[in-house]
Amino acid sequence: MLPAHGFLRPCRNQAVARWFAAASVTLALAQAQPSSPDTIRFLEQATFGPNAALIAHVQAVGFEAFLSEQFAAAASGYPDLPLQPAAVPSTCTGTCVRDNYTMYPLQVAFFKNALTAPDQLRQRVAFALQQILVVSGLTITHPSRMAPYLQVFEKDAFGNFRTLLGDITLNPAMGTYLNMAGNNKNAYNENYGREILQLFTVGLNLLNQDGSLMTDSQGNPIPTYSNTNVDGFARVFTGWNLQAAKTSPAPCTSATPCADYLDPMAVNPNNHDSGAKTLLNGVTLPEHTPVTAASATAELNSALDNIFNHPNVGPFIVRNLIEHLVTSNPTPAYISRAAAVFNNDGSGTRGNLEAVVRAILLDPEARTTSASATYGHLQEPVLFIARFLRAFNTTSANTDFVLSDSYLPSNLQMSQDLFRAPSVFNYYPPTYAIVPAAGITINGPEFSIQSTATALARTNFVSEVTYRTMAASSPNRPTGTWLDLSEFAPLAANHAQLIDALNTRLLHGQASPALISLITNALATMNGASNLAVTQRAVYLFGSSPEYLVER
Amino acid sequence: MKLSRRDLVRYGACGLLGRAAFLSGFERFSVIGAMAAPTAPAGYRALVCIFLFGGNDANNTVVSIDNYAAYAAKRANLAIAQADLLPISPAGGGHYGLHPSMTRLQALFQQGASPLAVVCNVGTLTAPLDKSGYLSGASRPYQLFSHSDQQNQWQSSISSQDSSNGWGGRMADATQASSTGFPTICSVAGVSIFTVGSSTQPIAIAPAPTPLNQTLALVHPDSAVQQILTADQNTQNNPSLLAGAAGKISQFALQNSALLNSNPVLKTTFPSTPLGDQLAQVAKVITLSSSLGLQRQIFFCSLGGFDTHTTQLVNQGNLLTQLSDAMAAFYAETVAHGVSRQVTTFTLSDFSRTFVPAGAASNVVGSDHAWGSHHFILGDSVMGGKFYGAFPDLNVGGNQDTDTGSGARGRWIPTTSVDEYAATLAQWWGLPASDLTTVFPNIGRFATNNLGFLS
Repeated sequence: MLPAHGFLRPCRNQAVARWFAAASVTLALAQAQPSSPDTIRFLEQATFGPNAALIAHVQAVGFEAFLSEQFAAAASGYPDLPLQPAAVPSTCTGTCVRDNYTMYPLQVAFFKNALTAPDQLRQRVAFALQQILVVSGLTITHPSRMAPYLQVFEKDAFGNFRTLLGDITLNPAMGTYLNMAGNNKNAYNENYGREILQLFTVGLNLLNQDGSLMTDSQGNPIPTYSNTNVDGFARVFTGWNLQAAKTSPAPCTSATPCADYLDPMAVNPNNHDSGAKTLLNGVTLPEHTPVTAASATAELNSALDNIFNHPNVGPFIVRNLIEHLVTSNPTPAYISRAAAVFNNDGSGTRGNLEAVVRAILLDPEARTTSASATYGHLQEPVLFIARFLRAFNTTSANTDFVLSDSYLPSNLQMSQDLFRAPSVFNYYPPTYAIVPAAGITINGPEFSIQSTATALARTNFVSEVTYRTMAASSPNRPTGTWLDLSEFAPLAANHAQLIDALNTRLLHGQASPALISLITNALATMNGASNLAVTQRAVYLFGSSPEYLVER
Repeated sequence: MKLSRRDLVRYGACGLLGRAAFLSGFERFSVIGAMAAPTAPAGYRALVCIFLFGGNDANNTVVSIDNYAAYAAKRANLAIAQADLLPISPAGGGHYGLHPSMTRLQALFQQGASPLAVVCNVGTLTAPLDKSGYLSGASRPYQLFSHSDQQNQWQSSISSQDSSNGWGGRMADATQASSTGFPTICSVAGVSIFTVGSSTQPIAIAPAPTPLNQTLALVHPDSAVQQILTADQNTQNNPSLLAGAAGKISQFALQNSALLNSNPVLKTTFPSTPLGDQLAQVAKVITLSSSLGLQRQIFFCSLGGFDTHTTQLVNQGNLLTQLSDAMAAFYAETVAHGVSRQVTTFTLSDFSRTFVPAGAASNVVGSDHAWGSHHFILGDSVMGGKFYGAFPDLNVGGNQDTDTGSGARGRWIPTTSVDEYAATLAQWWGLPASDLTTVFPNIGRFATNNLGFLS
């Protein structure tokens, strides 16, 4: 998974090795009652952000018990939205269009879940997996068509990866997005056959269990598959299509039927390629005639098993999940430990995502306060927004949380238009590399959407939501989202106490002395300011800091 | 000096990064300035890159009318009716047609002293390659047919691997920095490898109608916030390279905010499309070039949606309309502004698409990932009305197709390399000959470093 940078590589490895060597190892035992800073950091990785109640709860029960609770918690869910005809009826305007033909209701549900739902870990892992197996609302524009796709990730987040792969393969939104729906043996397309390999499961090159590239005798990466394999899978994925369009309930009628995005795609054996196919690892599926629905389905399952059992899947998926949850630059040993759990959860099962998530979050590399300069990850915009709002028990005047405020959609200004990724390659690629200092190239996926066109949108989001106050004139309160600073404002009489409390909540006590000093000096100039004003400024300064942008 | 730098580049353990370290600080300006002086053209020059994300199907963008029968037979329902093609007559002979949606580019190609040229069958190559070489395992680009890798190689002009910087960025590295600190490269389409150098960084701004510096300013100005954003994260007790990189981006935004604090008025009406909005913003920045202290600029724009595995007829048509109208409006603006000889616009894309379509019915038919493609270059320095390179023979399964046999799809092996295409643009722009092999390390493997479409 590490990008192959050729002539950059030797230098990079040395440099990174130096940083890792400098890391001090202070192991926290997962079983013992966790410390406050590590609890907060754990919640930054496992949820959409720590708040006072969750911190207290996890400190009381410990990580293991909390994870068990979260694995058992029911999915908060995306709404089941009524299917719509393809074309917007002339009677549908304004909020009707917004609610039935845009991602809006799903974005609202996402933020509501992220900010308030109890199944935080499930929502967080589902969001990570959804960004690996991507469908974009740029193409699937109806929320009623996208919701069943999002529900797959909620359902399968802690199940088996093979189940997820099967469910997503036959999901109508994915089928339409990557053109498996309607794929016909007589003139098939290669889209799903290619991208399921490159992006969803095995990746471009053969990997060792620790995620490093295998190389041939000349030191070159070894491609995982050839065009012959892509062709083989493309032909396996022929014959399926959406089931018959629905003529009820309203607004679906026989005159304006609604494409069926609820039920899994079904196979028409007449459109399925019966020829032999070359899959991964030299496996060949034999010619099978006559084709029946059962034989085509058996072939599909054989092909998905062939992918699922490829040794790349463990390190590939594990590395992606670690990048989303913990760090952009995991050590090979960390990937290897988690991939081993993917390969075998201890009871002989491969692909157990619950076990993988537990292994990733309780690994020493996740639980250690690392001094490595490459550790952690730039928070993607959606996580940044949610984490900041959750830290202050954010409330909303209405039910759409951040979306209707004048300063939003901030996630769009920050270049992460939720559920509308530019392509199947997601908002950002998992292998985007940056050169933060001369001679050092490191992985920083989220930096591929962080530029001068987007960076200050974060700072401006923090200031606008922090300085916003609730209008008193009920019932005509504005729509909007604001922070509840009442937990911190009473501390403002003592700047050091306030700074310490915010450092704990926002940076798990890890703020640099330089940042503490800058904020201390800034607050010291605020003679006579109210407690609220001092608190707001302190929150603005913490929330703006580059240290806060990077979760580590 | 020159030789030692070359040696460092070629043999240094850190490759380009060694060069980055070498170029940092005072030396950078003296060395580059001394090298650039003899050959650099006088006056302002700008290159405007339009990247067509997803892989534009060049087979339906430029169609051979002379070979229409072969085209129609193999493309089936993906074929454009001959009567619908927009005829063009390149100076070298032959009859071709542009996609029916590109009326404005057709007019530019056909006009006297045409500013529009086409480079044919250009693509990623590690070295010249023919079918026998392809079949016998001669060196080919890393991860052919993969979007992400082929995008990277078009943007880096290095096809043997993925790179973390691009040929635009490396050209900026080799160019004297502006007196104001405003960077050589400006993107109106976010982050791209093309714009990333090893010692310079691009600025990114939002497309029109957003004011030029709107993304570069704080809504609640606070001197302490500015201090925090500009604090160096790498010198502190618990350094974070990631936080440092994030801080630098914010810092760079704030530094350049005042330089774009105006709203130049354009003389041309641009189409209100994503690409039209990007090119309008580029045109505005170009009017500010002298106040920005820049003699050389590079811009990056993009248009996505070209990955037309299905429903290509409608979708590609809409995209090429957008491309044609936006490019023509931008060219008109450079004419009106008197800089049409100093600004050259060009297209790049992941790859072209299979000549043999995917899908049958006309409402679903599309095409899969292929290789060599045709691209446009526009501006009054372009020796236009002409094709450069060789148009493919369209023989499916033949000597220009990677595929063989009954399942062959028509993926043309490029006959002109990205390196040759890019080096031609770079030299017109003013990249000194002495920097050519630094920016285009593989250019020596190809027939020419100048395809001759710019004067």
